[in-house]
Amino acid sequence: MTLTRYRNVATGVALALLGGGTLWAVAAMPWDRPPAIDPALFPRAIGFGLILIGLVVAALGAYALRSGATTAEDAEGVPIDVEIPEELLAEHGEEQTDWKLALGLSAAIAIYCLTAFQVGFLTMTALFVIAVALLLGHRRTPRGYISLVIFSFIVTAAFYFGFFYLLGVRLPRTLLP
Amino acid sequence: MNLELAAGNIYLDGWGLVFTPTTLLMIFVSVLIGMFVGAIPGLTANMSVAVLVPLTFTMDPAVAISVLAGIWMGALYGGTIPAVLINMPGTPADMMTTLDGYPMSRRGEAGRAIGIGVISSFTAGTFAVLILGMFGPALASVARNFGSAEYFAIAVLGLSVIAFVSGKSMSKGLAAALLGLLIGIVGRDIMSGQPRLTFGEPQLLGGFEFIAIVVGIFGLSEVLEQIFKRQHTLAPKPQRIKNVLSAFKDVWPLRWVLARSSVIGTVIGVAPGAGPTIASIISYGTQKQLSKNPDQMGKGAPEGIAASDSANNAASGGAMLTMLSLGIPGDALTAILLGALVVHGVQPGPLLFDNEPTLVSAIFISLLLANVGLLLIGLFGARYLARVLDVPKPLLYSVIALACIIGTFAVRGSAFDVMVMLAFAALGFVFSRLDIPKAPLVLAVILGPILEENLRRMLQLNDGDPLAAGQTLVTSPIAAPILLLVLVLFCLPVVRSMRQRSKAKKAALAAASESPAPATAKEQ
Repeated sequence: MTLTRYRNVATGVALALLGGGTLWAVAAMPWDRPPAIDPALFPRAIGFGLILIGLVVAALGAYALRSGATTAEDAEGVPIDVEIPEELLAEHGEEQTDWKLALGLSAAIAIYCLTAFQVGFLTMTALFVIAVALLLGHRRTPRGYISLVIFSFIVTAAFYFGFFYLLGVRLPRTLLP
Repeated sequence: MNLELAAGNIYLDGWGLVFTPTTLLMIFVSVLIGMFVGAIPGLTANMSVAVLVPLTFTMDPAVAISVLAGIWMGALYGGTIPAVLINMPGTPADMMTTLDGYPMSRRGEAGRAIGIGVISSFTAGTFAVLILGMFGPALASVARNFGSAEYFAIAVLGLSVIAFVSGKSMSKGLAAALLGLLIGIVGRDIMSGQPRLTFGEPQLLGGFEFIAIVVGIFGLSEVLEQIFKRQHTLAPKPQRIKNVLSAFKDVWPLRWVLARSSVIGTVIGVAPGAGPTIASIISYGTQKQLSKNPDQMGKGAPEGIAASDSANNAASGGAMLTMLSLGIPGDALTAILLGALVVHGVQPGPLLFDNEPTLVSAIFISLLLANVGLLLIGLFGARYLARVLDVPKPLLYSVIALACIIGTFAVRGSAFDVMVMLAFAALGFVFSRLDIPKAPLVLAVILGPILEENLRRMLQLNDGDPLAAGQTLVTSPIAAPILLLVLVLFCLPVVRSMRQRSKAKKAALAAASESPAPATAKEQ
């Protein structure tokens, strides 16, 4: 719970900074234009809104941290007057998380996005499917490897046929196929 | 306005467009795909539609929207299967179905529970589509007289409701909506053409590609979230499905539940901002209050499944009513559908009913057929659909991630859009970690330009005088009550919190006065 409140303070600060950044980004636009034709009217309003809401989120987080008070965020569910049965809430046990795996998958996705349309779509797609499946725990047995390679070829062919042949999307020329 | 003519058009004109073997096949296949995706826990209806939008770009607009709506409805129903079989809702809108569905499954009545879910989804979905057919033209006719003030007020209401109901914290919902507005204004200003927040990047002059945003926020970020939570390692063994058709015996005893939940779902769907999850929760809560056997609810009562499943499917039809008639998306999913229609060159709103009656009719008929497809596939294919739970997750997630990346590239053949999608996937993941709801952001991206355009038009009409523009708002018979509702919505949590505090204080005082004073050292 305490971690959530620290996160709330940080979120609030980040929102306020983003609001400040928005105001800075449109600071060069003149202030004296009539509101109806002022292109900075809406960005400024949003910037001030973000600062305000950021301060509110941070203040609520800081208040909850200092006083230990229970806030709406400590409760489960949505803030409407409908009782959510306890049986449903009881299902939510301690959350198991895996940062390393999420970061690994993010890296694989980022590498694929950077290379698929520069190096070679077919090659990189087949490699991506194999890499992600292995990363996520596909069985590492000779049979598992063979089925994975076959699966990656089928998926790559299906995507190529579906998007670049049937839908006629133009694929950039690349070094590898 | 000739309402009869409009109503006649909506029921008849579109048959020629829809009743072709290819279109019919597309609708049924889309429902099937939706059911498969919805049946996989963690993959939401929003995600399935967002990821598959690019596949519809070469289709006729009527077919495209039917396919997307078919996926949507299929996903909402598909979520019932894991909710009943393994106690995990396939989509958030099926959360309440687990309460009675799983206990029924444990009693060996999985088939009956799924059958009730299918029949409820079909009944309520059809009801909501018929409401769309009846009231769509009428609402569009009223909306034709709307000016900037009315559209501005409706957009504000949509943002406020979704910020209010879509998360635990209203302030975070509002923050998400503001971020969405900020993202929506990137690009050339609609009136002066001046670039805003583009930072010299020419690819941003036209703004962010909407499909890249939704695929990132609802598609790839969900994959990351599932992996982060190690959902791919879960391998639950579902119960067997038998006697799905036995659910027909339950229809008559549940008729009033179905009727009531269909109305609740449709009304909540129509309200800008709310969606199927809220509809399902409210409908379940109402049923529990009105039930003759409230103690049985949550222990395997068929009425619980009927209340939840009918409301979430009815909400889809209700949200379509607002989206097609007013051009205002009712929830995140209709925002995605609206974005897809715009890509097809179709602008939803009151004029759509005048300019493209055949298209509106085709959408209406396709939605009806999608519901029929849902009933048939749901009743006869449930036991095969359940096998999706056996698909190895590592393979499944790699395919979904690919679909997100290649689908985004396919929209404009732009690698820049893929990077934008990646950035929004990261943002979506951060949102999930910080408990910030994603739906207000997506809705705000669509509503932002509507809000800004109408605000500035209102100012222009009042010679740039903000006070006069404000007067236009408060004197409009439509805008004024809507804005009042927005005000109530913002004041409600404050009033409720003050009342709760005062109650807690009184209770503490009463407890202190009732309990005997602790013995002091002197007394001892």
